[in-house]
Amino acid sequence: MNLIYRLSFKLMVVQFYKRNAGLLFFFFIAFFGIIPPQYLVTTHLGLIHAQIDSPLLSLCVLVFWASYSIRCTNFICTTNNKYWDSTTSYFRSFSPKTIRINLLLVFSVVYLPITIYGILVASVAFFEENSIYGSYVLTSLLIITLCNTIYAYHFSQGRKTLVFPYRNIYPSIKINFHFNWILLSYYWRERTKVVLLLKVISYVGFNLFIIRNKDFFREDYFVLFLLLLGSFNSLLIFSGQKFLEERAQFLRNLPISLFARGMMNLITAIVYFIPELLFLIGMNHEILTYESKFLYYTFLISHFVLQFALLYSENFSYWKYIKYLVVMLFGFQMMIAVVPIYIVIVINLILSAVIFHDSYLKYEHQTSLMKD
Amino acid sequence: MIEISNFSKSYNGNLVLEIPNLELDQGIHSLSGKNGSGKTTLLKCIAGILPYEGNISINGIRNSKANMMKYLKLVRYSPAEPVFPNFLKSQDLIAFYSSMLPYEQKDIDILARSLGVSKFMDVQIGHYSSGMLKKLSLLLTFIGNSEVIILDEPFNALDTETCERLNEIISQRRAAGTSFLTTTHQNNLHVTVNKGLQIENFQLTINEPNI
Repeated sequence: MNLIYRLSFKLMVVQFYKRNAGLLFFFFIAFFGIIPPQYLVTTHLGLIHAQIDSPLLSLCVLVFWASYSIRCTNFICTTNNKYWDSTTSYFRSFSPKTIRINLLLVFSVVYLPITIYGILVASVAFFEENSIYGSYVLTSLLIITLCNTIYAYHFSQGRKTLVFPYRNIYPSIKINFHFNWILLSYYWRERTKVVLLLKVISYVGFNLFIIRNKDFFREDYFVLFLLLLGSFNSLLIFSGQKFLEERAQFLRNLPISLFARGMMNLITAIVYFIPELLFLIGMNHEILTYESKFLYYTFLISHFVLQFALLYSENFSYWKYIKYLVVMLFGFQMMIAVVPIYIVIVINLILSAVIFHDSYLKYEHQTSLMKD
Repeated sequence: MIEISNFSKSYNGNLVLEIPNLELDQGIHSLSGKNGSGKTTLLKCIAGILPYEGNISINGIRNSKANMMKYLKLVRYSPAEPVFPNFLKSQDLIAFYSSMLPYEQKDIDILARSLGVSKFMDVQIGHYSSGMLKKLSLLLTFIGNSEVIILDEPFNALDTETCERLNEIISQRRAAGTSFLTTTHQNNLHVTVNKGLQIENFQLTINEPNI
């Protein structure tokens, strides 16, 4: 294979799939993991029929395909930009035709999951003699592929504003920058796959406990699972705190009260665990009361807030933090065995407030030790 | 203006800097010293970013938990190597700063044009070069009517034209009553310095003005 194709494959295709592994895994679970195997074909055929029959659903699917294509193109363009001085100048030494073919191939491969699904939808449409819809799907895919390739080509040539006005609009949910949202924005924009993976773990766990094994449901086991979930989320909290103290260190020089800084953490936790609350509310109404569902949601929030506050009590290295999490897990398990969960929540929240208030201004991030 | 007493700063029990007593009046003060002497550490301590032992106050307001808000309104800090969240744009940060530190929009526009930030306001910070990051950091530092502006290596990564404009901005703000505390290894600072401070062997000494 030509060197340009091999290089593009390594820099763009492999990296794209590595970076989006969480997102793709999420969709895989959503489409295949939660449907019993015997209903897999009929469910997906039903979905395709619904798409063919409903113009609104069809439009929604097209919007999703276009959005995903923006993500793919943005990645290709950003990678080009990132290696501008080294690799891309090498790319630019090739003929325009070679670069276009190369970009077409790269885009086609990163966009492959959608293309395969689109071809499947078109095949069903053609099989059912709905050739208009089949042609519409294939034409849409072709237009999306060509437009994105042309845009990526123009971008690679330094003409960044041509062809598409929608560069850099993905993720399409624009969160206006506000202090309270900074951590959420970070999780959403830079830790997307970890967040989605954690949500999948929550969903699968809740599904196993509340739906699949509802006859054997035991609250103490469920609380243990929540503790484990809290520990998994602690790794995200760790990266969030590092982000605040490194990339967002400028916040320490701004007149923001300690209370507001603590509240930002609480607001982050409240919003972050809304999907878990929705899973709990939406799944089953027989085993758990609404009261206990909110209690478990609050427990997750209090655990999050406490972990965040504790990170300010000491300069944790990654491995030290893991060890500490294991100890915490056992500690909490013993505590929950003897104390009702609502008391644990209150203790968590009080401890968080005290620790954060006491240690925030004394905290010194580790990287600053090396600074002049 | 800036009063420091019984100040000491250690990392892992190792003393980095000790200042028994220091008073700086209004004006422009430069801080010099070898690499690793503790210049940035001192500036970060004054900016309220790092913890320390002792007292630092500006205009009589001591940097403490009780006065945190009042103190942080008085001092702005621009780091030598600024970093910001990659997913944000200059315009997001400017809007955020101006919501917190009252400043006329037209003055922000003038600053942005002068420092050349307006050209890349709507580009994500992740795509910035070190010069662009430095310009943005300086712009953010000048937002608000703070009493003290701390500039750590302000001319690093800046082109000649921007260096000149930065000197003009510093002179204008100085005339308006703002004090500056700055470090620089380059001779780009073309304004009158009131006091020259030198850090050597963990101690701070005051030199005669040298610029």
